Amino acid sequence: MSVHSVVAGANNYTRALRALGVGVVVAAMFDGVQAADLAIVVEDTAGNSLQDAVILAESVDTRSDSANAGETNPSVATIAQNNKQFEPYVSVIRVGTAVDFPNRDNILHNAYSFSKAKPFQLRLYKDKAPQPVIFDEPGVVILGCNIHDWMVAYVYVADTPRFAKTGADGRAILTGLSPGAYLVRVWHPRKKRRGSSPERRIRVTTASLEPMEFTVALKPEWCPRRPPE
Amino acid sequence: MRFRHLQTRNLVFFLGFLLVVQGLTFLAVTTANSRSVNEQIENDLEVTGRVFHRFVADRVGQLILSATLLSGDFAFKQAYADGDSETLYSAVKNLLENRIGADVMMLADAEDYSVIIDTLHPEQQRVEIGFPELIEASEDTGQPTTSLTTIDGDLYRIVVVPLLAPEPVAWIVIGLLIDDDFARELKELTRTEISFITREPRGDFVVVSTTLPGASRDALPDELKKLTDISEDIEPLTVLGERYVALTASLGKDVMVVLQRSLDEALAHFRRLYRNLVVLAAVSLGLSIIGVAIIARTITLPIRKLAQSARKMEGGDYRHQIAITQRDEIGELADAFNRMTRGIAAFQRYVPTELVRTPIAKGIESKPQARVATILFTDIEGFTRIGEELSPDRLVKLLNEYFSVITKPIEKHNGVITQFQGDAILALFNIPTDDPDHAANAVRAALEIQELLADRVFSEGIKLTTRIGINTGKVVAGSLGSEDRVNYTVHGDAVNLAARLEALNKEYGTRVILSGSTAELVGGRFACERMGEIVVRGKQTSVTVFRLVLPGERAPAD
Repeated sequence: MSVHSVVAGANNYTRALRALGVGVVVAAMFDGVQAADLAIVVEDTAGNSLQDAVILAESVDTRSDSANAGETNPSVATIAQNNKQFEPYVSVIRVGTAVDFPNRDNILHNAYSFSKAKPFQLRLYKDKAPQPVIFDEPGVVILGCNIHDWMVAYVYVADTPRFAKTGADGRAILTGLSPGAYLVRVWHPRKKRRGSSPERRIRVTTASLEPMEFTVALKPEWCPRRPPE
Repeated sequence: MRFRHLQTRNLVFFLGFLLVVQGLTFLAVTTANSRSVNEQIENDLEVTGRVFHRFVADRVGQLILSATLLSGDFAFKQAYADGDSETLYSAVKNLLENRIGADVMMLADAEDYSVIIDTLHPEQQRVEIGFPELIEASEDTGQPTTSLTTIDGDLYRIVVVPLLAPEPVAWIVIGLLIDDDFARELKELTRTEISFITREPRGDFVVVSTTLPGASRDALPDELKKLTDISEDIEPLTVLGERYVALTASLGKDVMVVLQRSLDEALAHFRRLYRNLVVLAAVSLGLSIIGVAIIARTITLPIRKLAQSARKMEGGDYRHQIAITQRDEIGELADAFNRMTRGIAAFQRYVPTELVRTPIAKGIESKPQARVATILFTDIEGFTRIGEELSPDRLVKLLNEYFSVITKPIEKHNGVITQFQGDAILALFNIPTDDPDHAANAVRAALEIQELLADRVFSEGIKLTTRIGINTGKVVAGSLGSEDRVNYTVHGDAVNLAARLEALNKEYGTRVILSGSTAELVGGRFACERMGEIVVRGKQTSVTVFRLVLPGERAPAD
């Protein structure tokens, strides 16, 4: 399959996936087992709401895993270069997702990653990237632009379909958790490398779950995330 | 202290004073200089300390700038991400040698801080880095960190920055060797000796780099131990006998810098001044010695002359005059002394020398004495007639001539003239000066007087004849008169008898008549002729009188 055909098919693909998502919820209800939603609040140690925290729920028993095995996620994502910044700052995608890198500025940009999960480099380009990048290994991929030091973006490549990302209010909702045991983990680009990562076990039995609160210790940023004025 | 001579005393006191003044001046100058030099050095050191810190901060800033540029170097990131360790080492060497100009570079893994590349140890792989706390600090603060760190015994100024891709993927360590060259560079800038010191765990100081020469370098740690407090402080420091003023400053944990300036070197500028001062002191001292000697001589020499003159006067020489021509106080004194001598000399003619000399010799005024003495009485024959013929001036001149002639034999034979009375003289023998042979001496004096007058023609062609009476007997002699003025006078019948005997010459037609008592004492030593006996007024006994036979006279026929 040529690169162009993948990109060209991306929009149709998205529409189809949305329809499919509705189908999954309906299917779950029909299955007679009520899927649950988990509300999560993330703060930093100073008590501020933490945006762009990635929440993951990994199944720790086969039953729930198999129950969720058939779930699919959108397999195309977009990280734009806009106003000399990557947008969004943090993306969380499923393994195997193709990510498109459109350049919406009127200057050239580069996109690179030296991360083990997906090292790649898109040479300086304008408008459309030559091809989408498929993230086929789980892990954190850090993106940069080799001509703009401050440009940074994070792609969390998850090998579970149950993930979410907090908004500006530090809140996120993990939807459609079928009954079973899960390890709920929180990741953030500025999470301190040392010290235990915030994670908690949870057992889903009913549809109503108590909201969970996480606190993340942050490290300072090395680079400014805004372009120079 | 006692000085026998005025000159020595003047010299010692004046030079002593000069020495004290010069010593104090020298002390004041050296103290002030030393203090000002010290202050100067301390001020300089404070400035140097600031310059040093600024210099180091600049170098650190440069290092951080280089490191920061490196942390964003994309080619290096690529080499790090893609390359094998040999490629990476080669890339690191390239950056170190061609772009940064530092002395060491290391690359540490962001995950476990293990060393990936170390230009000091190219063969070592994946060992724990020696200073993980620096990387942790940088990671925690999001800032480059810098520190003075010892690596393999050498001191390095190191800087830690991440390799950003664009998050820290590795840690870059760049180090600048703080060696003797570095210290020398600073010395050129600050003209100050600079030493970098580390403190061993046991507390020993180790000199890691310095501008000091070898021996001083070795001696420095022990000297530093003597300092009470190692801090941002200025203290005196002596290394191998050379005095310094030192500023010590901590540069971090167990690392410090010692900035020192030589006090001796700074004082050396003043050595020439001190030498000049000493030369000046020596010259002024020498000139003073000469000057004082000259001045002292102008005082002591005349004083010595005056003293000599005074001693001569004591000895009875009143004619001596001091030859001093100075016109100062000394000259005035000498002049006064000369005038006094002349005055005394004039006066002396009125006073029998012996009368004065005896009390002087005895140190007391003569007390009245009563003893046997010989009295000689003279009178000029026919003086009344002569006095009528001559004017008073000429008379006095004649008398003076006469007295000066007859005085000499009397004094020569120890006689003392106590009175001039008109043309008469009263002379005493054996009083006030002892003379055991007084009777004979009186006779001798009488003989000589007659001999002298026989040949003598006085002015105006006048010849004088003198009649003499000599008697020996008990007399009382002493100073009589008021407090201010005394006369040495003699009393007693023996005196009157002598006058009688003199007058008796007129009756006998003789020149010299002796009493029996005198004739007895001279006993046959002189030719005498018994003339008869006379009755003395107020006495029961009679006195035998003798004529003294003069040369050329007929001796008595016995």
